[in-house]
Amino acid sequence: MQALHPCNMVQNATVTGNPPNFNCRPIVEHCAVSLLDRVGMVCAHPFGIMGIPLAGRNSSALPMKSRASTKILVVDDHPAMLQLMSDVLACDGYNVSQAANAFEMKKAIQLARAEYQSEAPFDLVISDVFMPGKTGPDALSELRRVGHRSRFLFVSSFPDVAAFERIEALNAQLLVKPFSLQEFRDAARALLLAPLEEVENLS
Amino acid sequence: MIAANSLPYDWEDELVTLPGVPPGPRALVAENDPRLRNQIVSLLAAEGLFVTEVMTSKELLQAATSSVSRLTEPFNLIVADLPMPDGGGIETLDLVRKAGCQGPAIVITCSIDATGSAELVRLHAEHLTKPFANESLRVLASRVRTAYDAARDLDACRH
Repeated sequence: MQALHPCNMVQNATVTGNPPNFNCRPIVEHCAVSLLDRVGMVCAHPFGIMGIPLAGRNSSALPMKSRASTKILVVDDHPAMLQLMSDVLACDGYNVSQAANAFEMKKAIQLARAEYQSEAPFDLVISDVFMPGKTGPDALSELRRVGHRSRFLFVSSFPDVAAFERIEALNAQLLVKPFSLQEFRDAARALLLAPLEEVENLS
Repeated sequence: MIAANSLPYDWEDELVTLPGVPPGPRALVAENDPRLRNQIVSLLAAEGLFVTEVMTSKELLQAATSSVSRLTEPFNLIVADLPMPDGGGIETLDLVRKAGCQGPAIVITCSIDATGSAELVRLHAEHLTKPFANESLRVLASRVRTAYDAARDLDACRH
């Protein structure tokens, strides 16, 4: 039987809509292992676990140094999904913060805004759409009204037409689950490479 | 025997809240200067309050009335810089009180005369004169937080 390269396994692992309640370990190599566990693959290869190019060898558009200073906020009410998305981005070398719902997201942005004295404290905010209490787009429009600036990427399993239109009107991006981790990385990187003025709605 | 963590995601684990109500005390900040608003908002957020920010007195009134009419619990703290450049003075706070927001309120002013301070006493509002010490606002925010937690604990005892 032909052995799959672990790198390909990670890239082909698919993120489903409702993650099972597994404990995602936040350490770099454990991220890959838990992913492989989930898709039922045994992780064994000659270079050891450290040989997995988690950052993706083809994704060198942003140098590592600027990645460490790139701040990303990840928002999701499913703990496993939140941890998975943060781990993937942390593996790529970004500076990742987490929030568990739209209220926490607003709070995190308000605190960071004062800390960095900037209207755009996070370079990218990745958020779930439907969360208890308040949806992601609602929180975004409230923040935009008081002059907050940031790139926004929404992630959702079942976006309805209203959600699509809402996100389009806010000039934010939407990534529909299930997506592969490579798709997720690519979407984040493409958004980060675009200038802030182009991405957001300034009108 | 199935391990607990191999069970599928349980929807009942989700936090159940009323739409629009965060799991904690809420504050409303009305301030037109972005730098001062940032400062106030971050101070309150650091004390554990969920802050809604508005920039005009019209929006202040709108936010305060909608918080009552939607059967969500009203704001636990209102911080407003009055008078606002769009014309709303202390009478805005009067309207907010009439709309049903009876919680603690702080009015930030540059200067205040005797009539104004009498009016603020009538409206059960405290006032801070610019420039004010962050500490005075922080003390009030933590007091609001404590009162909220005590009320919630009491509520939990009753049920």
